[in-house]
Amino acid sequence: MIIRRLQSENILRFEKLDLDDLPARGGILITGPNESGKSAILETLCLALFGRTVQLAPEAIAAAIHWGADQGSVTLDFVGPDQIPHTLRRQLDRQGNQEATLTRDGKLLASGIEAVDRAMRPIIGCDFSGYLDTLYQAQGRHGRPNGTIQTLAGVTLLQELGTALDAENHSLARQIETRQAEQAGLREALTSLNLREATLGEREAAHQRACSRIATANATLARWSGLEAGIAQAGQRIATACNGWISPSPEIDRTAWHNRGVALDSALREIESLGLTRHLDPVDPPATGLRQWHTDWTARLEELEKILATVEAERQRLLRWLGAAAPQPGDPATLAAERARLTNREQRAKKRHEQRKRRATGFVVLSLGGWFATLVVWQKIIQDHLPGWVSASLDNALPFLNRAPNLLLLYTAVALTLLVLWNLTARGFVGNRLRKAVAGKERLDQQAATAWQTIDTIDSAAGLSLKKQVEQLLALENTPWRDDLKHWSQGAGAPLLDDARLTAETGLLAERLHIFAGEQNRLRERIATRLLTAGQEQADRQAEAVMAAAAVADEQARRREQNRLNAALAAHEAQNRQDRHAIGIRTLAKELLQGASGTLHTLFVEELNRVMAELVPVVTRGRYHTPRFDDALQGEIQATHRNEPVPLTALSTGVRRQVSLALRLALCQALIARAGGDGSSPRFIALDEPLAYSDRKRGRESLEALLALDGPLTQIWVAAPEMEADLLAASRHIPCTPDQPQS
Amino acid sequence: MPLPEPSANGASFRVQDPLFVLEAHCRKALEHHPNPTRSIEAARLREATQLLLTRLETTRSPGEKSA
Repeated sequence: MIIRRLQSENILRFEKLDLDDLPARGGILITGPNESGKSAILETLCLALFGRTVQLAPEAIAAAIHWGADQGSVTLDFVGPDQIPHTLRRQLDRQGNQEATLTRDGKLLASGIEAVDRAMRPIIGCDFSGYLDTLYQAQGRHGRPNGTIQTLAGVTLLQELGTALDAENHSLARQIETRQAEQAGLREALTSLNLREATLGEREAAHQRACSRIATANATLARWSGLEAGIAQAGQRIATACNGWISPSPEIDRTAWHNRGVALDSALREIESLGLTRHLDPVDPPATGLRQWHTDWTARLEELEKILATVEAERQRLLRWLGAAAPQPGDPATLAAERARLTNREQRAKKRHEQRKRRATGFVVLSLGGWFATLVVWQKIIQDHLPGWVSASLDNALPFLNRAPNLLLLYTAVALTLLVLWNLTARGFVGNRLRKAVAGKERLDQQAATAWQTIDTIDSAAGLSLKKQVEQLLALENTPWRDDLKHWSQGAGAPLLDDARLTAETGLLAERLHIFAGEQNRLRERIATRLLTAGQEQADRQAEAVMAAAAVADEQARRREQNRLNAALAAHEAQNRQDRHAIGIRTLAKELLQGASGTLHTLFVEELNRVMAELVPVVTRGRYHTPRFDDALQGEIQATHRNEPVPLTALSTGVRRQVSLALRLALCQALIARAGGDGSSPRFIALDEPLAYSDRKRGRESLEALLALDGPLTQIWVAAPEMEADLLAASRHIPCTPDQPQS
Repeated sequence: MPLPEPSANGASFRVQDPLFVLEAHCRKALEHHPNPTRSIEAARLREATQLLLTRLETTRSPGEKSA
């Protein structure tokens, strides 16, 4: 950082100050008598850099405004480490208000006091304290640098880190204490819970038992409710079914009787299925009279059904015989088969009868011829006994008879006669068979007609009322069911056929229905009592279950609270262990930091001694060399003329000033090295009457050595009462007068 | 491991990087531990070293870092 221009208005003793064209390399020598403003220029420079001066406290900076003015300003043009021109401008007023802006190459870089200070910190390389210890040396300020040594050695960073670790350890320790106090409270809360391991299980078991009892009570209530509804419903159905019986019509058919029986049976089964004898012990089975009546009535119908089954079987048999239904195995020959068989027999008999007829004619002719021949022969045999004329006539008419064998002709005639007789007999047999076949067919037709009539009667009767159906079936003669049906109609079936008997039976039914109504009312009363008891039981069990559930919930809440407390305790303990471990690690780290700080400090002092060994002979013109500083920057220096080490405290004031100047220069170099950057950026140093206590010769030597230093400190501001003209001529000279400085 | 060469940055004064010095110091302490790989103390030492180096690396300003 090199100062190129310093301007101020109403700052300190200057109404207006403008130091322009400041050289980047070499001395800037400010001379003048006391109270001429030499130090004020360096204070103005300090005010520009840090917003405060060396002499004034920060809170009293308003005193830097020129007397009589309300506000002042200072503007500093400089070249930064990046070789870019910067402009820093500060304004302040009497109320202590400050404003600051920093521009870089004409562009605003920062605005505001804090922002500008933050931006200037790396440019300057140190804070205000470091500036006083390194880049600025004021008259009467030649003591040891305080914290700057630590900063330049790099120890400050480690110390700050150590301080932060101490603060963290302290915070962690307090957190541990706080947690331990909380843990005590948690343990006390745990003790006050006074939990017993088996309590939750016992309460849950009690709740389960209560729930089970609720289920039992619900089932009981539902059972009695169901019985009540079942009795009402079954009673209604029984009443409806019985009403169909009590006012019956005799003209109804068998199916209607059957359906009424099924309806009453279903209704009776419904009430029987309720199991009232099981639930209401002791109790007589309800509707037993009705069941008995229904059983008797059903027996009548079942007997009729058996007879009608016989009717239907006969009908089916007739249908199969007539060919109107598919035959079954074991069936006799059908009507068609028998008719075909008889027709075939008739045809064969007719054919053979004709054959016999034709054969009979032939046989008769042949028999007559044979008998004639036999007679002729016989005449010849007996012709001797015949009158003569008879014999003559026969001989004339049948001369061949005399040549035929006589016995053969006789046998032939007898045989032919036998044939005629056999033929006549066979023809008679064939005719008899023919007649039988014709008569069989006529009989079959008659049987078929009778069968169709029977079937039609059965079919027509099926659609009639039971009474007429029975009458029509009884009207059929020679049927296999007739006797049974007649016996049924006069016995068990009489109530179904006779109005008087039917009225008596339905009266009996009505009486039993009335009895059942009484039974039903008594049952409902008993069930209502049971329902009331079951409802009360259910309410009691529900209340018991609610209490048991509340007890379980309370115990579970206490368990959750216990778990929460234990978890909090465990978490606290874990966090305490972690924090104790962290404290231990930080304590160990602190020890490492202290060791590293000592190493850094030792290395820094060694390097400081090395640099001072180069600077001290320069500033003392070879009279002293080889300084040895300890960690407290105390030590000794080798005097050339005495060839022995001399403690720093034993040196003269002037030599101590020179050594102090060398030390300041060495620290400046340390600052530059510590600040980093490219290392080649030049810097300024401000020395306010550094050689005030030196004699003229020693002061000149020190100043020449200072200006001749080769290094980054290229711009050296020096304020002194007076200097030799050759030195002034070689540098930028700023003479000051008590009235006004001149640039 | 020896300390790195101090940084001079153009000036004749050479300064040490605190991070390097601290790292070397910690490493030296760990190397001088009788059982540097398995003992609990060595583990704590490594943890403390890591804590310090991390903090120092993150807290110091970029301008203070070694070139």
